[in-house]
Amino acid sequence: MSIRRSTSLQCENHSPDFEQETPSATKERIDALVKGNPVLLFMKGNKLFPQCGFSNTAVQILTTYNIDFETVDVLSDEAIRQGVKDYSQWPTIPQLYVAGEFVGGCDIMIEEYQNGNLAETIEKAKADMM
Amino acid sequence: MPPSLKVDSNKVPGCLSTVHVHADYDGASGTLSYKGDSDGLLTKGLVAMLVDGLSGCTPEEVRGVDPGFISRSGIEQSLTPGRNNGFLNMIQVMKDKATDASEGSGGGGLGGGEEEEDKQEGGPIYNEMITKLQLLQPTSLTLLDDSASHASHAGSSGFSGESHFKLSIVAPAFSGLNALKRHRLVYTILGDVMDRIHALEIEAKDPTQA
Repeated sequence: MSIRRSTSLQCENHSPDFEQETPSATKERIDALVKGNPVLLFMKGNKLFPQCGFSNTAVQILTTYNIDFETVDVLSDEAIRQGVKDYSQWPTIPQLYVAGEFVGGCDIMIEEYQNGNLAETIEKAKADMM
Repeated sequence: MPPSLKVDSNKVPGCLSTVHVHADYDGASGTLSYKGDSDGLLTKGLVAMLVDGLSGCTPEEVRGVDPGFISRSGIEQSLTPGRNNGFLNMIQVMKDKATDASEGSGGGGLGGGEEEEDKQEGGPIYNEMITKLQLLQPTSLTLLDDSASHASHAGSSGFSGESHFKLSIVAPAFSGLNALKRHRLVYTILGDVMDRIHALEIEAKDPTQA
């Protein structure tokens, strides 16, 4: 399997000595990420170095589809780590967004990968983006 | 119940009072007979009820007992959450002993695929989850505290056991809901437990899929 050239979005961690990002600012940041990327995974670690078994599984699944996808490392951004749980009303990481819509976490990705639904959702998102 | 049976291996965890349960298996009839006792009056009554109800049953019957009867019968309303926890643990211990005493026929417990489910000691979070999940009136529920296998990974510092769980649950409440909605329902039911644990794997089926 060839390693796809891909990017990981590193969100800057705002130093607590200066401006603390407000929850609504975090929400806007998340919103922009979710809407600006056809396939976006909030995870622990990044694509090359996942730092959690569930995040790793999520990455592996997405890699099988041979698409470009973005990831956000919540471990390096505390505001997003909490913010995305509020934004999605979902208590755990990883979290997958496709075409701006929340798909689910690792368990759901596995189920949807196995039944073919995830492939369909991603194909549709790719087509819409063209 | 003779004092000689009041040993640690017969002790029910998570009870406010001290409760012991012992099971004897009669190979000839294929049934179990239970003995139980407690130093508290209320819990003595609860364990007596279970001993009375479950003695004479086969291990399969005992394992198949649906804890949902606690809500349906109205018992749950008469007990505090702590007592409900204890009661659930009594039932679980009796199920475990049914499996042990008859030397386990077939894949244990409540239909889950996991192997290690029979000897759950039940920490406070574990017990709380079990109690809350009764709301879904599950026909099958297996909860595994899987924390030991995640003990050393990044981002999980600060938790000592009771951090990673695996849940297999079958309930009519899931009928007609897609996977996402089923998981959301479980999260809603568990409420603030999710703030206190690190991860929860969920397999949620409706009765037609079980």
